[in-house]
Amino acid sequence: MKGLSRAFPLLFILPALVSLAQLFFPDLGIYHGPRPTAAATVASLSKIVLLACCAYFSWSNARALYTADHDISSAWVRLATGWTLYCMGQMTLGWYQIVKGTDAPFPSWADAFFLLAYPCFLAALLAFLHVYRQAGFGVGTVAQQWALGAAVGVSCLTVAIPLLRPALAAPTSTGETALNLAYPVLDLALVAPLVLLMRVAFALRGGSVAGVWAAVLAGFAFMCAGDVLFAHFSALGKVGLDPYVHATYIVSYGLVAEGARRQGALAAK
Amino acid sequence: MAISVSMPTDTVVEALTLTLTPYIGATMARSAVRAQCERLGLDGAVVSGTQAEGLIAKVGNGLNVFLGREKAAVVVEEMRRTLGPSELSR
Repeated sequence: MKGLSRAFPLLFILPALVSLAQLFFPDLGIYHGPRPTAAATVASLSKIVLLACCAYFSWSNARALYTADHDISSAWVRLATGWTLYCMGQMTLGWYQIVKGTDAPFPSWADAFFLLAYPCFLAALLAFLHVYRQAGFGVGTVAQQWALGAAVGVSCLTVAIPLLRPALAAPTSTGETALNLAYPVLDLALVAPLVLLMRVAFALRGGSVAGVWAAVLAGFAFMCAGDVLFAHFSALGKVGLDPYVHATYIVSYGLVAEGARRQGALAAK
Repeated sequence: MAISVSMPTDTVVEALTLTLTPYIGATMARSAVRAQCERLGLDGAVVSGTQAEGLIAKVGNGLNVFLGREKAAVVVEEMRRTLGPSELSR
C-alpha cells in the first residue's frame, strides 16, 4: 500500500510528459490519426482522474478531521466542493473531447462548473488561514497579513493588466472574451490567500505537514499559470502551444491531489 | 501521568518544541508553543505543573487541525511523557 502511495506522483508526471513530448516529437503517432488522438485521450482522462482524486482526498480529509476543533473540516469541505465542481467541468469537456471526438465549444457548460468552483476555492483558502491562526499556527499579525495581501493584490494587477491586454483586444466573441478574462481574474483573487498560506507552509518546513501544503499550494500556482497561459495562447491563436497548457493543468491537479492525499495519511490512525 | 512539579519555562518550551518538530517543523513548533504561552499568560521564568498541563492541552488542541483528534492525543501523551519524571529530575 505504501508503495502504491509513493507511486501516486506517476499518475500526473507520466501524462504531463506525454503532453510535453509533443513539443519535441511532433511526428509521433499518438499525436495524429482520427480524433480523439491517443495523446488527447490520455490528457483528458488523466485530468478527470486527477480531479476526482483531488475531490475524493479532500472529502476524506473533511471526514477524518470532522472531530477536530476550529472547524478545519469545513475548510476541507469547501475545497472538496470546488474540486468536485472542477471535476464535473472536466467531465463535460471530456464528453466532447473523448466521446464526440470534437473540440468543446467555448463557452460551454464546463465553464459554468469551473466558474462556480472559484468561490469555493477562495472560501476554502480563507478558511484555512483563519483556522490555522485560531489554532496558534498563524504567521505574523492580522494587520501584517492584510498589508501583505494588499501588496500582493496590487502587484498581481500590475502584472496582469498588460498580460491580459491581448485577451481583451482579441477578435473573439463577447462570451469568449469574458471567460478569457474571468479565469485569470478569478485566479488573481486566489493569489493573495495563496501567498499568505505559503508563508505558513514555509514556517512549517522540516515537518511532515509542510509536504501537504507545499504540494497543494504548488498545485494552485500551476493552475493559475495554466489559466494565464490558456488565455494568452488562445487570444493569440497559438494552438501549437496547447501541450504546455495541458501539462500545466495535469501537474496542477496532480499536486493538489498529492497534497490532499498526504494530509489524509497524516490524520490516519 | 499528570505533571506535578514546577520547571523552567524555557525547558518546557524546548521539550514541547522537540516533540512537535517532526510534524510542524522547528520554526512553527517554537512559535506555536510561544504563542500559546502568551495566550495563557505564562510569562514568568517558571511554570507550575498545572500550567504545563494547560499548555500541553492548548498546543495539542491546535495540533488536531493537522493530525486529527486521535493522533493529536497520541502526541499530547508524548509531550506529557517528555515533561514527566525524567525531565523533572533534572
